[in-house]
Amino acid sequence: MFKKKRNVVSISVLCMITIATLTASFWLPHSPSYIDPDFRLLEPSATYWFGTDDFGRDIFARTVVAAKVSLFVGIVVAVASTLLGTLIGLLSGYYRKADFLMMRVIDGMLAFPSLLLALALVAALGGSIVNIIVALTFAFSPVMARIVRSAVLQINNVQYIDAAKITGTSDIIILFRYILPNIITPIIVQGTFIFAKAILAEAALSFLGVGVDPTIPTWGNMLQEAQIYISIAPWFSIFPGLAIVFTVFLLNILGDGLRDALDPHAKKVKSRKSLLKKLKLAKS
Amino acid sequence: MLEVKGLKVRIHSDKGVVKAVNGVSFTIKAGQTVGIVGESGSGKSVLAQSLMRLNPEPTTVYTEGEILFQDRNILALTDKEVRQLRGSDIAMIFQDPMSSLNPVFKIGDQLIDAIRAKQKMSRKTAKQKATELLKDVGISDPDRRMGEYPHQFSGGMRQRVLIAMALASKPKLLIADEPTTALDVTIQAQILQLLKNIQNKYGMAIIIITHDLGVVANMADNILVMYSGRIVEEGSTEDIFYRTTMPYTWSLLRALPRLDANDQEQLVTIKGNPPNLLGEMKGCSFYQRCPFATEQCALSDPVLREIGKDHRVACILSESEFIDQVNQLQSIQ
Amino acid sequence: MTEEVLTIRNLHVHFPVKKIPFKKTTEYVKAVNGISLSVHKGQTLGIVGESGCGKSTLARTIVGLEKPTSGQILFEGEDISKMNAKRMHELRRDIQMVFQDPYTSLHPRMKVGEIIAAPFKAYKIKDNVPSRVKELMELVGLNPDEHYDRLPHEFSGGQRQRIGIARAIALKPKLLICDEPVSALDVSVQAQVINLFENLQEELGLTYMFIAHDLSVVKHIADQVAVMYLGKVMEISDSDSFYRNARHPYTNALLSAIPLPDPLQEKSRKQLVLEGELPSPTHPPSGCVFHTRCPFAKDVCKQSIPPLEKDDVQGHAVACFYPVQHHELEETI
Repeated sequence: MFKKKRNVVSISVLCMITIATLTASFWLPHSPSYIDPDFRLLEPSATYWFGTDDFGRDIFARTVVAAKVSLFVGIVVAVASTLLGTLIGLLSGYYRKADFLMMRVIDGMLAFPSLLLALALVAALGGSIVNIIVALTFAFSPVMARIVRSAVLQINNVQYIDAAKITGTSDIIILFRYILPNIITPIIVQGTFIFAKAILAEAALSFLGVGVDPTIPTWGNMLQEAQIYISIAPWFSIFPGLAIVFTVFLLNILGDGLRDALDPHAKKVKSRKSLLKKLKLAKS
Repeated sequence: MLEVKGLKVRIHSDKGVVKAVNGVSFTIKAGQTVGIVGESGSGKSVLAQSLMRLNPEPTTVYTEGEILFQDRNILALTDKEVRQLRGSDIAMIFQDPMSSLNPVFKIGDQLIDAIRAKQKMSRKTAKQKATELLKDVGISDPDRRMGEYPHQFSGGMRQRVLIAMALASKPKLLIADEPTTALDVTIQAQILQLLKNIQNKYGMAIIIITHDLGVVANMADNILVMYSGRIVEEGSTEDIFYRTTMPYTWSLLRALPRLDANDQEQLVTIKGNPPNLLGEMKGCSFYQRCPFATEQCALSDPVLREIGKDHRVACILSESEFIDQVNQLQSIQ
Repeated sequence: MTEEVLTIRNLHVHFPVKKIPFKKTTEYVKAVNGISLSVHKGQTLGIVGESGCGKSTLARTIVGLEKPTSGQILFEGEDISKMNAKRMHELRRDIQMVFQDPYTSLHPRMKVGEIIAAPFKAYKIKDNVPSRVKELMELVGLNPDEHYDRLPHEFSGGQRQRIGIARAIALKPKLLICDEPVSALDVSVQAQVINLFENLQEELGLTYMFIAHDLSVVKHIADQVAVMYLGKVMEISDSDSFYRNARHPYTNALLSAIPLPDPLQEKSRKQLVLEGELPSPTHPPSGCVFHTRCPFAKDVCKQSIPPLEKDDVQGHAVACFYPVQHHELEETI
């Protein structure tokens, strides 16, 4: 997993972003909430790297601080929906009788676009961070459940699962000790993608005005505030937008990298490629 | 007709270089049936694929030797020439007939395409020929069955179709790589019978590669016994079964559960497991499993040596020494 | 004869062909279609048949992986299908299974020691498990010190099968179901594992149900042999009488289809090569299921089902209206 340069770079950059946003109050040159009416909508400059917003606040500081909420929502949603989805997937893949009912519910949820589903839930629950997390978890777990279920169905026919059943091993041990470790790869990969999608979804919800409290800086809130100034102060939208793109991009790269590193089949293809390279070098 | 001289094949894998074939030489005459017998990992399949250069290149490297087919060295041909040779003068059938057929095309269309790829003729005459070929391989009602898809055929029937495809170009040599391993015994008997019949009719040479000594006992004129990428014994079928002085062949024959055995005595086992072809090879490769091994076996690499007419053995024991050893072993037991 | 460990009475196991939602399935694969037999203590019952005859389904049903459609499976007089979950869990200690494929039957990420200890864990046996595991490893011919912490992929097929056997005998089962345990192994390793089965039976007094497609392997290990075809038992007999005096035409065809590793015998003997292939188990033929391929079939065979009846020889039963007399067979083929 750490052999590929790509993986190392994306992991370390993500770690840097996390550390930067957590320690923001110690090193930021300007406070993210300091309002200065004299310096409204300034262009990026040496003092204000990303410029200032309509209240004269430093956009750089706000972008860095906003990462905290976005990453927090992302990771919690990723973990929660992975856990929930894996549990549902395991149970419906292993117990064929429960499967029919559970999968119909999941299918119903999948019929809505996940963002729309989250939007409806937040609209009903009210827009707090907790509610957003709950809504996004509901929106993203069905996909995970589907993936886990199909992986379980595949592995359920393998003889060592039969062997475990015959030796009297309990269902819980079979599920968590025999099946889960052998399907962990798609779960981790999908979890990373959900992380990325959750950041996007949170931004979208905030942008639409049903997300996190507008006084808390998040990338989505910033974009929402910036939209009316897009023609006169484009930097106000560009930098939070770039922050979203950059983070999601890193996470997607990481997801792909993890799949390559953890999937034995992809490994074979890769090692064959490097082998061919070596052979060609040897020939020339 | 076919002559292999000192062939060495190396396969590069991520675990290292597999020494799959280590200096193999033999000849096959027209119309002959030769059996190549060996366990998994003995290099028999790699050898068979080498004869048509079917091993995946460039991970497979033919480091030494020649394969002469009608005086042309197959290893020196261009890719285009090899393609022409495949399926015309040399044809091959495989263990798993399903993976050799395209599941989305009708059997008849695949067969007709195979015929027309080698000979220029109209679709109509090709269809007639296909019908004849299917009849030859014992498929009844060929016109109807040509309209069916591979999944509608059973394993044995698919193997018949592949044999028909192989016959389309009237090959001079048919290589059968474990043709009956995936089949049930009653179907195996049918396919073996069929191979014999088509050999009588078409008169080609057959190389049959198998792990089953029973299969070659019935089919082959000559047998090559392979172990860890080498030929360890070569001779007529009678030589191999009745006059072997090679400890590996001898042990293998005694380890076989036999239908014609009289009592329920314990099987004679060969200790240990087949060798790993990744490592360095020194001395006789059977040395660690051999019941008669001496210190010398670990040091010197035995070469094939003639012990009877066309009967060669790669073992340092002479015939009389071998018989003494066998008697000694049996008196202990 | 000793007491019966396992008795099967008129067992049927049918699988629905394709489940279309909201539609009642009317088609069933009749994998096991009315089987009655018994296994005696300390003995080995060999079950022979080609692929698709239902022998694996039979094994899976006995160990509880499939549910019987009808009929009884009595283990020491108690009906398995009527047991509650708790009694079933206790019973599983007594019936264990060895699988065909040594590559997929072991958890790839568990160490050998853990794999063999799994049954102890399942029954919450905690005292000196490691030393018991090591004992088991020694019993099946593995090296406890060297192999305990290794992963399955570091072993060859034969060694993996030994691991599977150690796991199966860990709880000292009364009945061991062996589903083609040697058919994936090389000849030189096969003999080791067959001998291991025989030695374990002697040492631990195990009872085996040994399923195989290879009649010569079964001859070696079985006291009684049953032949299955399309979900039915065609013939069942003591091993001696079975191989000397097989009565059912199908059994004779199977026996004569096995190639002997002896060229002279092989060339001189007459073969009874069966025509055609296995009919679909969804729509088995009427009357005797074998009549479509039987060279001796008469009208009555198409209409009524021959019962499995005791022959004049003790312990020999055959389901055929016209059992083969050996002198007649010679004349027919």
